[in-house]
Amino acid sequence: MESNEDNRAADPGLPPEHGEWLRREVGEWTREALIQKDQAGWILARYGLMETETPRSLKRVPMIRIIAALGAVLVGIGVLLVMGANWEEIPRFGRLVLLMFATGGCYFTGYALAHGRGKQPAVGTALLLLGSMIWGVSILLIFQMYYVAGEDGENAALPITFCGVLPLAYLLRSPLHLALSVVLGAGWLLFVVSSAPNWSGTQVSMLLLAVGCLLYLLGMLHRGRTSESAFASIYAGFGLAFVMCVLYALTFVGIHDRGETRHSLPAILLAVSAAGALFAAFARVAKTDRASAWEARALAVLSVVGFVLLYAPAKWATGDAFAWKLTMNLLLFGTELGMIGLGWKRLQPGLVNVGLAVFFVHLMTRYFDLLSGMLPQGLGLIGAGLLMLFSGIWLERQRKNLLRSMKGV
Amino acid sequence: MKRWFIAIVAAQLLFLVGEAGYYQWTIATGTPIALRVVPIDPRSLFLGNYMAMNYDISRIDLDKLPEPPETKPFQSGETLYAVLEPRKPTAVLIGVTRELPAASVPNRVFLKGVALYADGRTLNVEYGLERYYIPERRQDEVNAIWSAHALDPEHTPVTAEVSVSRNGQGFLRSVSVKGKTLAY
Repeated sequence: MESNEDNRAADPGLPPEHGEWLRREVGEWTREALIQKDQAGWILARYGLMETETPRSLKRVPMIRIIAALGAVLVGIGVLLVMGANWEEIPRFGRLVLLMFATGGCYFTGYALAHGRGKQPAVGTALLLLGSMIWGVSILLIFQMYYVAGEDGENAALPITFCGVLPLAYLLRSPLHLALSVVLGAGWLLFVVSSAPNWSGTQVSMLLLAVGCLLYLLGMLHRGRTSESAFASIYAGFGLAFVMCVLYALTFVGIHDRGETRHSLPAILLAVSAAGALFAAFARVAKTDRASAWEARALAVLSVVGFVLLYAPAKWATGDAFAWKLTMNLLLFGTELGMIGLGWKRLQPGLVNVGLAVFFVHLMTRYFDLLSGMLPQGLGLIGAGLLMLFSGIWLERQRKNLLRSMKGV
Repeated sequence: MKRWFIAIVAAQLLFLVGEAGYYQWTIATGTPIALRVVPIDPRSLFLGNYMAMNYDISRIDLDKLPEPPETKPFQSGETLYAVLEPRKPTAVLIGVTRELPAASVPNRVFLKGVALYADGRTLNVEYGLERYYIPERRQDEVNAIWSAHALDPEHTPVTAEVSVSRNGQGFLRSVSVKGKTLAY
């Protein structure tokens, strides 16, 4: 590890009486999520106030350490391969011990590295995530060991792993664990819906829309909390992905069918989402900025529209109905505009880029829908190509103008 | 935070122990029965190779049972219990019921299942015993068994040894072909 003198050599010198001030300030910056924990360590190390690896010192890591690390990785992979090849020969008790050892080993080593005294936070976080994944896989392997299938077997693994990983996400303030939880929860939901009987296309769509809205709402509610601000992007990102995918799918003929509304879950979730969004619009979130208030209102409107669509008259909601297609396309277009506007207002280029990309895909899809049948195949493709070319150039120009104007704000 | 972390990790590890312990205890203390198997061999994307097990009790014609159940029809997704009489070489399906009896019934085993498909008085039932995991390198062996069984099921009988707990939960112990156990 780099010594304090090596770090201090990079700096002309920090008066000792300022050391305490810097420690205090860096602590505040970390608490306010202005900087990450490892960056805090680097800043303090630069002034000789902490001993830790810095990006500069890591560049000077001796070759022998890299070789040793690679050797350790190879040994680890070899151990896994040997275990895998002889898995059937190992008695059940032995397999259980190995799984527990792997899970516990990753967890405790990861914790020591990530939350010890500024040692290897990146490696530690990765090991903690690996521990959670190994735990989930262990549940499945034990089901497999005892040949347990169906709803008492692997169907139960997703929700159990979700319940185990989510508390860790909040305890460790780990965005990676939260992302894993959301993926597990989404996978479980999709599995339940796909295997359950008597769910119409409309009910499934509205259920997924409701989940997307709720995830986005969670993102909004986490935005103001400094200790979990990173969670806001994850929840909002997944929520937006759900909403966009559902709205996009609903613009196609035949995705939705009326069927008989037997399940109240989509309606309940949409109602909760609408109520939560309205609460956010008029309560804490609204006090943050006007954009957040409008964002919450838009979310409430989307939830209410979903609720209405769930109970729309059969004649209006059939695949050929012009009103349905128009509504879905307008909803999707409105969401795209909302993303672009929000990204511009909040100075988030990523949101602007995604909004424009989705708009482009939407545009091209409608082109093929509307015009491909009217034009001979060759002309249709030429038209599509020209449209892509010119709209791509125009969109890129608009995107650059938007990003330039954001920098000027 | 450290204390909570240790508590959560300990809970996760205890869950693994509890999961394995429950299944092991049930297999050890449950009522053993043998079921006649019709094996198929697909490949599971997520859990390696397994034999998809179909049993002679997977498809039930309610009117042909020695003790036909009540006339109220079963619905898809409904939980039910196959009433079996343990016999050699394999258990015999006697009836189907919706409820477990409060006390044990002599010479009767109640195996819990879910009606996948119900068409009047015919049911397709899943018991959670439908997968027997086999190592990839033994796939050829299983294919040979399936081919022989498909050609001559009477002379290549396949049976599954199952332990059934008091609450009707069944657990596969082993699969046997002509009396020889396929142990993996």
